[in-house]
Amino acid sequence: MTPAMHPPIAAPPDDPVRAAMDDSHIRAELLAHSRSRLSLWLNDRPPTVREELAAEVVQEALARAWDRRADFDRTRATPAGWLHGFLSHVLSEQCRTIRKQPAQPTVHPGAWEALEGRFTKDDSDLSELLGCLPADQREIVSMHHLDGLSHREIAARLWISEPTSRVRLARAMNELRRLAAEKEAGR
Amino acid sequence: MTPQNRLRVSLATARYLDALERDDQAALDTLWLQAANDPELLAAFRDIHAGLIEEHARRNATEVQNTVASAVEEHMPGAEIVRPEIGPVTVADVAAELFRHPPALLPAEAHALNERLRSVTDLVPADLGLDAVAAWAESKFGPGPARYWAAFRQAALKARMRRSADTEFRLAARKTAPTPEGG
Repeated sequence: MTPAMHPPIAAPPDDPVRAAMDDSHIRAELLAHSRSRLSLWLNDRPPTVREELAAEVVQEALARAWDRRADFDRTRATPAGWLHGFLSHVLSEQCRTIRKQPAQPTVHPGAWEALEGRFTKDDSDLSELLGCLPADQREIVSMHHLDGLSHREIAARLWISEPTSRVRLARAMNELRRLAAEKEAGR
Repeated sequence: MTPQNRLRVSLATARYLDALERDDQAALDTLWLQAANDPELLAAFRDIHAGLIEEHARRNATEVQNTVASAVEEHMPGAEIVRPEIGPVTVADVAAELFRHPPALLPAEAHALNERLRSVTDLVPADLGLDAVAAWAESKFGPGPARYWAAFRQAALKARMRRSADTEFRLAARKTAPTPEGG
């Protein structure tokens, strides 16, 4: 005799946190977040260990979010963004527990604001700074910020994926920030 | 996307990657607070995660490839390791091709120029017309014999065609997921 089939229990419409937790796309994104961060910090561990830990960390983050779901304020956050915030915390705790890594100092936000200022003002220093970047980094910054190309267009031109284009640009902007800070300190 | 918005997302993404790589939880908290209500930023952070996973997979694949290649080179000296060429054609690729198969009657200065170009990682231009190639190359690398630029253009065309054919072959030969029916 076949067991009676029940329809899956749907999240109530007034519970966006539960709906987000049931959303397979959001869960896949959370898992990717977890895997990417563990690949940075636990690179020396076997892939199977990292994969298992990535899934465990997501479960732990979802459990904490569930306990705190009454605090969710839809006017201040999307459910997915809110869940990523929990995951970020659990990942930090895990990485520090395993690696015994102390908390790192935060880069002064002023350093980023100064870099933003160089882009928004007509700053001749910007071209000088760009000239100090390695050719591949200079190319991607110019394509995105000076020529106005999207990551999709850059990816097509450089034969890379859009996420790789995003990571390369982020590294180049970091290098620009470092160069700008060095230049500022040398004045 | 406006240039201001592009810059805002780009800077926040750079800060995010920096904070991830340094495990700077205070900066990550601030950034997740911003992304919680900003779908564009959330998408950018999602791309960073995907990009890091791709980077990690590439690094692992390269390590395995290098280990296998060095074992083959050590224990099977007669074997040739064929490395698949992917991506756009660079000046160095074309110069390496001309080094391996130099055209006849090239003057000595052409060989010297070719040697210099073997380390140039710039991409060859999209327009591979003879005049366009010569004008582009001379503006970037200085004057060279017309005979050399003609050979350079010919080698660039061949390299580009070969690479496109390789890419198409790999796309055609890629594994596909089995259908639910087992087909």
